[in-house]
Amino acid sequence: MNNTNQPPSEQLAYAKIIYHLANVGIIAMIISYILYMTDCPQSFLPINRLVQLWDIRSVELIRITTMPVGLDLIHHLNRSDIISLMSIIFISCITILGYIRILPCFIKEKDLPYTLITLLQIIVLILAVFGIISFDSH
Amino acid sequence: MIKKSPNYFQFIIVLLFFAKVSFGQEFSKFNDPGNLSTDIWWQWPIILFLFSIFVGFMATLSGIGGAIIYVPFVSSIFPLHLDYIRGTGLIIALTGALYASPELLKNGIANLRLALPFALVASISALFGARFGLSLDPKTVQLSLGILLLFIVSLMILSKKSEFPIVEKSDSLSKTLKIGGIYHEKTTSEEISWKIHRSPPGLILFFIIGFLAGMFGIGAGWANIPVLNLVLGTPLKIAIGTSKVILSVTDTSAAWVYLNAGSILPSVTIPSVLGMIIGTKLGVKILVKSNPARVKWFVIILLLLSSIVSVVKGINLG
Repeated sequence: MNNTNQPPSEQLAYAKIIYHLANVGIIAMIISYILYMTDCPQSFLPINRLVQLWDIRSVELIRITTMPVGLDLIHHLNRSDIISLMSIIFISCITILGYIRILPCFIKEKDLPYTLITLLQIIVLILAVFGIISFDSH
Repeated sequence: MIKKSPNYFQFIIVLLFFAKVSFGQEFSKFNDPGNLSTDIWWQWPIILFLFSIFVGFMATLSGIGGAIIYVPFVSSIFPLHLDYIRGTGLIIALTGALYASPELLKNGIANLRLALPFALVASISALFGARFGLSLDPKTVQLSLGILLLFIVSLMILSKKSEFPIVEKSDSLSKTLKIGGIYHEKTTSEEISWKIHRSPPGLILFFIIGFLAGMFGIGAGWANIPVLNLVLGTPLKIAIGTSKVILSVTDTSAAWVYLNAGSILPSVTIPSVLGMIIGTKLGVKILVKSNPARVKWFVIILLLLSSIVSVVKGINLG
């Protein structure tokens, strides 16, 4: 138990990395969205077509438009809508990066329970990223 | 002394009036996607952006999460499929939590050691909740969302918060994990020592909360705070701060299920997230002058209405 009112070092390290990455994520969102709205570079699925399809399930949308998902996105990084999606993906990676940052802190402190919890959390989130514990849309 | 009444309702009325005047005619067309004209697509992000400013503003003033207002409202008003609305709800909650967490952690209002074990459990169940939610038909999800909202509204009305719950003895799990600490209460300049109890039932409750957060995309602050405060015995401020950290982990895992299912559309999500951030900042500025009880009741009425709309829509969807 922390017996001072000063937050422990791993907490400060986590706060610092989350703060910087969240700001980068917001800026990336704004820039990528401007690119998307100006269609520069050309989007995979033009927004004027998308608005006619966004009342159908995502599974159907992917089937009709062949929109890439998961690791397939890497092959379409020259499309403005995919670049825009990448900024959301970046936001969704911030917590994982925060956990990777604090893992060495717990190892250094020889704090076995928290080392295991952090490690397990990283594994769970990475499995989610790669869709291993995920929704099979195909 | 007569206090000057806060003018946030005027702001909302002006905002809604602006939206109505600017987009009123086209808005009616949007309810039937078949009537959509491709030359008015650009108005969509603006409508979502303005609507999200309103949601962020109300969420801040009422002290509840933005996603819990966003998901039922957007699903009741806009002709978007619930998959994309829930996906956006998760990203809204995630971004808000990431934005707030650093300051809370630095000031000791959030506690990482308290967050980590409960976040792990909630994030595992959120994966299954998201997966389950995406496999259900929209009718069932919409109906369940309405019922869940009714439960949340009753929780908001009935739940009592305890600023400094009394914890006689820590449980063995929290002792092993060394959960507890001291925080500086600025309002009284006191050093508040705290510890927790009932960790095992707390873990079970966080499993349920994570599942619901993933299934409906509504964040989980509404449930995290009462469990941390009333079940585990965490001081209210620590509960509010730590809830944000737990939320960021829970929603990260659920968000990946939605991302991998193609249920997050940047055209919907980004204007909503940015609008929410601006609304939150406006709300924070007015918060000091506002009457929280009045705003809370306004939000309760709005949530009640949207829960009824969700139930009716869920019954009528076919």
